[in-house]
Amino acid sequence: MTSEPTRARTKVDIPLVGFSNKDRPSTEIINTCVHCGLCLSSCPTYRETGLEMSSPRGRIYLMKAVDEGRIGIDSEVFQEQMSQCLNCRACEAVCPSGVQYGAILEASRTQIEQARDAGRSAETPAPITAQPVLPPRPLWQEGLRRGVFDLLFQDMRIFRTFSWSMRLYQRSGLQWFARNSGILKLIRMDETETMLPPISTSFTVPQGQIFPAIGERRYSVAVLTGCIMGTAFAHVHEATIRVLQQNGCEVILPPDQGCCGALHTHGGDLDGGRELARRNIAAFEHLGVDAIVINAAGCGSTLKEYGHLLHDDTAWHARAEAFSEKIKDIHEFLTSIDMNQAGLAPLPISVTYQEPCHLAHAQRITAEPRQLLRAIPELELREMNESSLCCGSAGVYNVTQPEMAAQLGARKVKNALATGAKVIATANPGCALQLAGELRRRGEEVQVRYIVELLDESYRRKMDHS
Amino acid sequence: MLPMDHVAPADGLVAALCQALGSHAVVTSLDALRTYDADASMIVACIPDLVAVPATPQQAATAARLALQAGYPIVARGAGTGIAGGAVPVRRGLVLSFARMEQIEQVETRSRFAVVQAGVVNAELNAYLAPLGFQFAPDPSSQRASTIGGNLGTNAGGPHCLKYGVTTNHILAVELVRPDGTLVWTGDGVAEASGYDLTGVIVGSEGTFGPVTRAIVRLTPLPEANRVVLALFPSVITASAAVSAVIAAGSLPTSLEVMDHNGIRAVNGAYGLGLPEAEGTTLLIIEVDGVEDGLDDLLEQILQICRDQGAFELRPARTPAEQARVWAARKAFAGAIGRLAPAYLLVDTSVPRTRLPLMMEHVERLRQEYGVEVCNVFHAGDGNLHPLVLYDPSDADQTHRAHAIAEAVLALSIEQGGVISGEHGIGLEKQDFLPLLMSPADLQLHAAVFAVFNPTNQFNPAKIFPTATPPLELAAQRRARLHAAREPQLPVTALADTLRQVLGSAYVSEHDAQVTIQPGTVEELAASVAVCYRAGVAVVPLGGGTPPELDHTSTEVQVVILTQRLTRVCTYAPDDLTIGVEAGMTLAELHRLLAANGQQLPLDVAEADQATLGGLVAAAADGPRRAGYGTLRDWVLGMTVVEADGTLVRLGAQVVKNVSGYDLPKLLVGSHGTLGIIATVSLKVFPQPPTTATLALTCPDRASAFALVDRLAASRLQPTAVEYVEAFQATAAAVSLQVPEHIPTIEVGSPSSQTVPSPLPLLYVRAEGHPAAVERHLRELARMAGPQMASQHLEGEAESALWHELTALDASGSDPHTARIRLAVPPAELCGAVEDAGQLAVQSRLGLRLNARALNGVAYLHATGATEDLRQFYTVLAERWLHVHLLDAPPAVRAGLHPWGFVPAQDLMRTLKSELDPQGCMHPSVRFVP
Ligand SMILES: Cc1cc2nc3c(=O)[nH]c(=O)nc-3n(C[C@H](O)[C@H](O)[C@H](O)COP(=O)(O)OP(=O)(O)OC[C@H]3O[C@@H](n4cnc5c(N)ncnc54)[C@H](O)[C@@H]3O)c2cc1C
Ligand code: SF4
Ligand code: SF4
Repeated sequence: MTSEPTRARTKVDIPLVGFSNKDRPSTEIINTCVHCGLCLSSCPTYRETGLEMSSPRGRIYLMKAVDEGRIGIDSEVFQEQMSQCLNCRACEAVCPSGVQYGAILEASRTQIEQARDAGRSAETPAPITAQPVLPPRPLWQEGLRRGVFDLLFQDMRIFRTFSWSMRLYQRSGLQWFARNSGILKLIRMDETETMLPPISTSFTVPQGQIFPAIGERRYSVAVLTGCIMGTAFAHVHEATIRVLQQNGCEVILPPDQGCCGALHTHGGDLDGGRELARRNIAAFEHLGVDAIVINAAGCGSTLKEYGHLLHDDTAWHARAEAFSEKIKDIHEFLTSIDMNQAGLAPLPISVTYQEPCHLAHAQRITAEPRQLLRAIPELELREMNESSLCCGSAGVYNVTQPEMAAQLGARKVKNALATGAKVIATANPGCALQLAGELRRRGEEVQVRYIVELLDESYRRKMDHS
Repeated sequence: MLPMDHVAPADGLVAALCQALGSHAVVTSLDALRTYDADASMIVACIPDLVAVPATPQQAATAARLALQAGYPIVARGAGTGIAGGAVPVRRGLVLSFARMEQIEQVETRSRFAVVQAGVVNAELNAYLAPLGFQFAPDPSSQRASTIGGNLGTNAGGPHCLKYGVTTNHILAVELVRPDGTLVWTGDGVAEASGYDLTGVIVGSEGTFGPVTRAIVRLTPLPEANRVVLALFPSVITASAAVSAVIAAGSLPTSLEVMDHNGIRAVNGAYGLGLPEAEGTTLLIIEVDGVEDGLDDLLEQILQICRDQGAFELRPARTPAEQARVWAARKAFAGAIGRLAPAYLLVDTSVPRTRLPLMMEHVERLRQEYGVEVCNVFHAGDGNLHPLVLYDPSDADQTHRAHAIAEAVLALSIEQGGVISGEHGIGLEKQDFLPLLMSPADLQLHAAVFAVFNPTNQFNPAKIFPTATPPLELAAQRRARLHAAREPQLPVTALADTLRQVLGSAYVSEHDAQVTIQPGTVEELAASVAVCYRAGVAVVPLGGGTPPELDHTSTEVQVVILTQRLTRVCTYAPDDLTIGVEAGMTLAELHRLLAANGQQLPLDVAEADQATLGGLVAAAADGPRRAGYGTLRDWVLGMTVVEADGTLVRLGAQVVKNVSGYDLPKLLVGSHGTLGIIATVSLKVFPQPPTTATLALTCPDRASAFALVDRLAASRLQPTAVEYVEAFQATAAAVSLQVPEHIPTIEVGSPSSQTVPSPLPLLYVRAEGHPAAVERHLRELARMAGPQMASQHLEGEAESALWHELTALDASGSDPHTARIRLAVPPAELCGAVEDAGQLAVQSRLGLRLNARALNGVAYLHATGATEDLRQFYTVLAERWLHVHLLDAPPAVRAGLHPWGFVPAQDLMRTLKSELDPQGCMHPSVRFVP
């Protein structure tokens, strides 16, 4: 974005392509930014680059410039920055003015995608129309994107099949071949490939199962199994269910639920996200449970924001609000009830905590995960530097911004290793993959575990001993 | 040549920058550059041509050099949280961003300094230091993002500056980019270096003196304990009155911050404070800190004052988490305004503290008159107001009224003796207000200093100075003025008579080539300097003492100006905790005046009844209590100065926080009369502590004494003075060692040690404050000292007598065989320096007595012996320890020696002197640069 020395100064006369009206970033939100700059030091991309346009304030300023017609949506800098942003929302958490950054970022991305879609259908892109038009993405990218957004994540059966084939790839020796043959480098998939999760042996398929509470039944809760959590991290779901059972919860996995839609909303496909939201609301709203418990930070924050996502949808808005009310992050939930402390056996390990952005920033849950870790006898919590700075995973970010993702992953792991802890605890699939990938690259032995897994282990040890 | 239109910067420059910094660190694309056209002030000036984001000081220097050579202006940018438009380019050019220069390079806890790069974020430096038990004290509300470079650029303050002082009190030296693109350090971090205080004047210069790439910052120990209480008042005016009352009662809290109901509304919800929001309700946040002992009692006294002043509710913030939330809410305030209105004008002004209630009444009246909403959130303890005017920029009339209020507030503030910026700076925002505060001559002096640092006007051009009067033009005017003032020339033979006409013959005397005058008023002083200037003779201002540089045998005509008749008090409202006096007032007289109001200037020097304030300031004298209170550098707020041609200028102001123009008083502190003659000084003063006590310790040896000092430095105790005394005796020279009689000579160690008549090192530690806190200090100290040190506890008369005698050790004396030397080192090296000086003295057949501010690394040496031996001693010592200043010695010892020790940034020092005093007539025998 910065390399070509003489460029861009002539653009002024070309008519500008602005925002269209559908899912337009709210001018009102943009204007609540008072340009104070207090968010800068919390922004991972600003910390890495030191560039104003890669900061929250700079990005909002760019949105404002498009909104006010000073630059066009076709601006390379604008597009690059909307893509480079991790949507980690660290800026939102520290903003004294309460700027709802996530909302305007997602809307801006949607604007770019809408303009691309228009570009695909229009024969010759007109400079200014009601619907702004951008040249479409290269076909392979577009194909991948549509395949992923429209097929894989919309239908969990397809997702599971895909996951199965990934497992085969990992198991079959093909992975060994690919990694060692340099083929991945050749097709520029090497960064992405280390991210592939080691797929769980059995998937969690929600079919209306009910797991009874251990001891007195105090609560009835439902669990959203999601996409990647239900396959790659099925073992985490199992742990979550057991921990909930240990805490007097009856756990229900309602059928017909799907992916939360985080990847869609973050990636500029708000409509795709809305479709998934409606499906999930329908799947859960009649259960009459005390809470819908979520163990992945990214899903939790998306589900809590269904109200906002469907704010224009008169038929669904109230239902979405009611649904979002019920959403409880697992750490939030466990610390809000009278937790089963007695059942926890000592785990004499040193742990450092990496805060998932969508827990710390989007949901502002920072004390609870630590409280749970401290609840485990003999577990030593060692705080790392910059614990809440994004690890660079952020959904499809590794694919779209491999360089930045790698830099941030390295920075995070460096901070984590500096504590000397043997386990990095986290609570989000993206983070878990990112950390594991970076650790593997470095040949480090340190493990990445979900906090619920550690709790589960502690409960199970007690059971084994008694 | 400045690029004038939207043309791409020269390819060559871009390519060179990319090569030096990497292309990822150079921004050239227009849309990206757009994001650099504003800072937090939202004042948009213009888009830069280029942005460079260097990662190291060397890269920064290279980028600067390339841009400067290509004729581009350079605007230094930290985090861009400034609210005066300081980091916004006006003439385009290169924005040099320090966002990637965020390394903490070195931390020395024992010597209490750290070397940091300019882009280090304030909060991150503090997070790094906290586990070590230290802090970088300035805590602007923007600290979570703002950088050290920006903090020093604007001399930032913060809620805790009431006790700890503003940024300038915590910057020891900086590394500065010069117009040729080279880097120069203004010092090495040692507190007492000779020469002009360049660091002091660079801090607060808003990037107009050049980008700062690194700084040596002072580390302050974290307090052992603190208490935070929220006091709720029915109105801003009652809350402001309570602030004055608290200060007047003699306690100096760590912070006193006021927030009115609008402010409360902005942060209440987001930070879960649960405060009442009713119209009028005003919050006073009070924090006290120190050792645990006595803290609750101290707080209770303050709370009682609040109750008496009408506080209707007092809420303690008990846990660290609660306290953190209160401060987070306070610090988020300005940003949180986005929740109340689409735009705001944040007026930053500071007034003498006692004018606060009056100012608040004015603000309230203006608010009603103009019908615009105003929020008040401010650093009340410092008298630093921040009325925040809310408006909607889409409403032209409202916008106009908002600006009108802001201007009216500034005008009122100036009327009340205030200044136009307490902490945010002038930048672009207030440049046209400067003439309200400054005379043309004041502005010219500012411009002269500007011309020294920024002769090509490429560093942050078009800032600070009024748009109509660019600085280089003003500097040229001043040069022309100085040139013209030499006319009509006065024959030297007519000098004395002309002076008699000005002063009356009783106050002019002649002795060989020397004319001595005693002006009776500031105006007379100015008039006589003008006369001397026309005669082309040297002028030497003299307070109580005799500067060793004064050469009575000189055959050149020179005029010695005695300030002894200038003894008036200019302004003294005790509750402001400031005083303004004429330069000839003696320290003893000032002490008497202040004591009558329960106040003090914590400076103890020998012969206080002779020493004048002008002289003390010009010599940057220090006293043992600098450990607890700092030095004159920290207390001088303003002064009036007579320039070489007799022009009277005003520098600074009598308010405790001020960034309205450059901090020029700093240049005069320690200038030894070479830049101008100090006519009046305004000083910050302190309440007298309720209790003071001293522990006198006789140490078995030097090592154990310094081991104790080390332990003390690492503890959370806050002694106000730690004075170390030792004597060395060569067998050849008999030295009379004046060891204070209050110290019993005791028998320690083996019997053989008594046969060697070398006295044992002594350590005096003083504590002041709440009785319980003082008690705790002495108790803990005695415990640290252990049984092998004999200790004596001194209070009352005995204590004052002791300190009187101790400070008398510094007296110059007229012994023809004695040299007085000041040695300054990083505190951690003091023990080694003392040992070395002792050995060297013995080898040089000298007797040596020294007393040292042990926590500060400053030692005063009295060496006695033969002339050649003294010369040898000084020369070797100066080579080894750099900051070795020969304060006083017989002419034969001084002859041909450079007495000032190491002087940094000599080019700048030389240029400064010649710009300010082109004729070289101000105290010419003082030459910092050999
Ligand atoms: C919400 C908020 C609260 C604030 N609270 C306070 C407060 O309590 N107290 C206070 O004093 N200020 C406050 N400010 C103002 C501002 O934060 C301070 O002035 C801060 O010191 C600026 O730091 P920065 O790194 O953002 O500098 P910038 O804004 O980038 O620059 C400020 C000035 O310093 C110069 N500069 C920056 N870096 C360098 C360098 N390396 N070398 C030379 N010059 C340099 C710039 O040219 C400019 O003139 C506040 C601002 C905001 C938005
Ligand atoms: S903290 Fe909030 S208001 Fe301030 S610049 Fe960032 S987004 Fe804008
Ligand atoms: S969401 Fe994260 S990456 Fe994006 S601007 Fe905010 S802090 Fe930066």
